[in-house]
Amino acid sequence: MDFGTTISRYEIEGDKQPVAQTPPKPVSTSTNTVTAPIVSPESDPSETSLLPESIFESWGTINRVGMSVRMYGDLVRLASVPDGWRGPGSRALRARSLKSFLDFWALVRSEAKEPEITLAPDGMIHAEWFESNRKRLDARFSERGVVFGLFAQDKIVEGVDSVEVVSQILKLHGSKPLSWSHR
Amino acid sequence: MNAPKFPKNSELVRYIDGLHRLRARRPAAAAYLPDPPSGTPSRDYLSVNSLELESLQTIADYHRVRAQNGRGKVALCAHKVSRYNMVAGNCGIAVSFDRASGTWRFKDGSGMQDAYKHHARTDKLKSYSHCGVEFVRALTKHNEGKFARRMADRRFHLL
Repeated sequence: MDFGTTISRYEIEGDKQPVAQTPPKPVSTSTNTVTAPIVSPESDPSETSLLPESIFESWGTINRVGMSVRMYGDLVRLASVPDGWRGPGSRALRARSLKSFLDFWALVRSEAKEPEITLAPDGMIHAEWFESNRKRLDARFSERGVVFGLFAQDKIVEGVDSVEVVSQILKLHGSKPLSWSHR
Repeated sequence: MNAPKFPKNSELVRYIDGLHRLRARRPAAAAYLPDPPSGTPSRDYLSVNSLELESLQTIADYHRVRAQNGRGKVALCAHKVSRYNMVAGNCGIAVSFDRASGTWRFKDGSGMQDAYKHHARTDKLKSYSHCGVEFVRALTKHNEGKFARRMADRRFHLL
């Protein structure tokens, strides 16, 4: 799946340049993971009504794939951003992008560090793994696939494909980019 | 008001909003992705400020008021015009210097156009150094990503 460009699907070039009934609010737990809160019948409904709709809609998947409180908090933060957040034309988080990211995360989580996630102006989730300027990976989760770019071993690998294919490419890559984390 | 000439060693500064500030003062690549097309091509450019016209501090003060309610530190990332030109080339857009007009030019569907333009803001806030990287509107969807990840290679200043 390509966006009508003339480049091949994977382009390599040398670059000398240099769980719960309801979702919890992103607060720390003793295990530092998002877990199911106990919801009593007396729970105040306003406790969860402030969470973005896209998080509610994806809660089942979020709960199933598992993630830290930090990443869950980042997702909530991104999902809270309104249309026009970066000026006219910029869009709020697209539900399909969130789904695409969660599907990807489910496939790679067992051998990946959690990325830093941000929002692209078209409403797509943008994730980055970083070790140094020469070893970094970014992936944008669009409605039509995953657009990724990998800087490693003085080469750049860039392309777009399905969640399944991109997850395989990255898991099998010799430099193990999904394990990069700049702390 | 002077207009910038965009010599290759002059620097253009990009404001990095809070959502795009990563650890260790790294800008997210998404900070360099152009906004979706507006339908009016002349309005589609990547906003930057020219250090030819204003200092980093003046530019930071403008963005603090414009985007942060006058509070907090402002993140700004500077690149030379020559770097923008080179990355444009990496993404299939040839930017060349036109000696006759003394401007950097690129080609898109409607012919040769200025690669950089002065868009001074003279409204209440005023930003005399506001400029646009115009060639981004000629990037394909795929090449937008190539452009952004190459530009996001420099740590930002916090002022």
